[in-house]
Amino acid sequence: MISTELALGLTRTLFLVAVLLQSIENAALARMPIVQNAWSWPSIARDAAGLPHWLRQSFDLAFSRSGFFALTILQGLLAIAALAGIFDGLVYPALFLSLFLSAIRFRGSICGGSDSMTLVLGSAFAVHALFGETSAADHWLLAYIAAQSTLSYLISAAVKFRSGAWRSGRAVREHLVDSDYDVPARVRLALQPPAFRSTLAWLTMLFEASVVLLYAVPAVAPYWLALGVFFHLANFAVLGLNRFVFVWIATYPALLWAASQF
Amino acid sequence: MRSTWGLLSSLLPNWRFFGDVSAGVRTHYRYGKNADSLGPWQPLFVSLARRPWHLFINPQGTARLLAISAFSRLLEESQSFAQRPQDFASTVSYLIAEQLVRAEVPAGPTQFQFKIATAKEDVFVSKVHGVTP
Repeated sequence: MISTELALGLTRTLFLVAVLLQSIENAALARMPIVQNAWSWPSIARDAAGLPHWLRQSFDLAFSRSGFFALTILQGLLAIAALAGIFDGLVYPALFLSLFLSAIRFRGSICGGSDSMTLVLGSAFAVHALFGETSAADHWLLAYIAAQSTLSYLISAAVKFRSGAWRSGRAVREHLVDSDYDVPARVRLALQPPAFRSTLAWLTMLFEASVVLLYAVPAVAPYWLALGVFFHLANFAVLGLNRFVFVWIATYPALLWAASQF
Repeated sequence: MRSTWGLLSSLLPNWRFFGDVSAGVRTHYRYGKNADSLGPWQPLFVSLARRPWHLFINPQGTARLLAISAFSRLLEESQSFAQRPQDFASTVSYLIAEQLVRAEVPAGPTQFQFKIATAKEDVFVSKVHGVTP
């Protein structure tokens, strides 16, 4: 069991730490010549041609080299302010806006699903701050975050179960061996035996699908969440997905809270 | 208009992790003094050392994931330009990929080319480009 107050506080703190880390990375990205050249805003702005003139002009300002760097610094400062409990009512909508703008700057996403989950949490806290922190609002906030986190595992599992490549284990080879992902050489070597790849594919699918156990057998929740932390750390070690670790773990207090409602 | 909606894509969560069609592909490039004497294909992405602190902050790693997504999107979009490949080279996705490869060409060569390939076949091959845009 976890109280609503504790779950909310932990989710909030973990989310803000994840955003702070992302903002530091974003600031470093904004300074990289390769990023500045390949994702130059004048080039990407062509995607925004269908937007109103005033919005395109605002983007031109916010996404210039200095503008985007300033945005990442502002994002970090907002996360720090929220962690310190300063400007509570305004800081979350502003933080959400900065996260959304950062995603737009890179054509919708910097790091795929981790951006989506960051925006899920960011939008939830922004709405929560705007509509007042009532008991009902606290419940809806945690329920929404838990639902999105649950869906993230469940949909991912369903997609894999439907795929012949995943059921045979071939997908593990395609994603981890024959891909551009920076998978350590010793891991690529270890993945040579087909039986091991197949086992790994099925373990991944079963783990993701087993998120339903949180609600069917709430007593397993602490063990499942511990396994989840290991799963995301393994994804970091193998694929380098560091951003996913913190933002997914930020949803875990909400998952634990949701499980305790059953 | 489709590309404008793309800017907002992260607002609509897509939890279909690793269920994409562009699995099992690697990006390669080659370069040379002229279009007829390009060298052998080589992987575009080299291995980066992964350190424990990269769990917290890893801009190089995130830049690489950003680049991988860019090539994945290039491959996806290339399929809708199959009938008019000449137009594809002026798309935002193509220009991003071209810049990413250009940055990896060492000093000296004047031409380069890139491709996306599975272990068995090429699924996308670019035009030959000048190192100087």
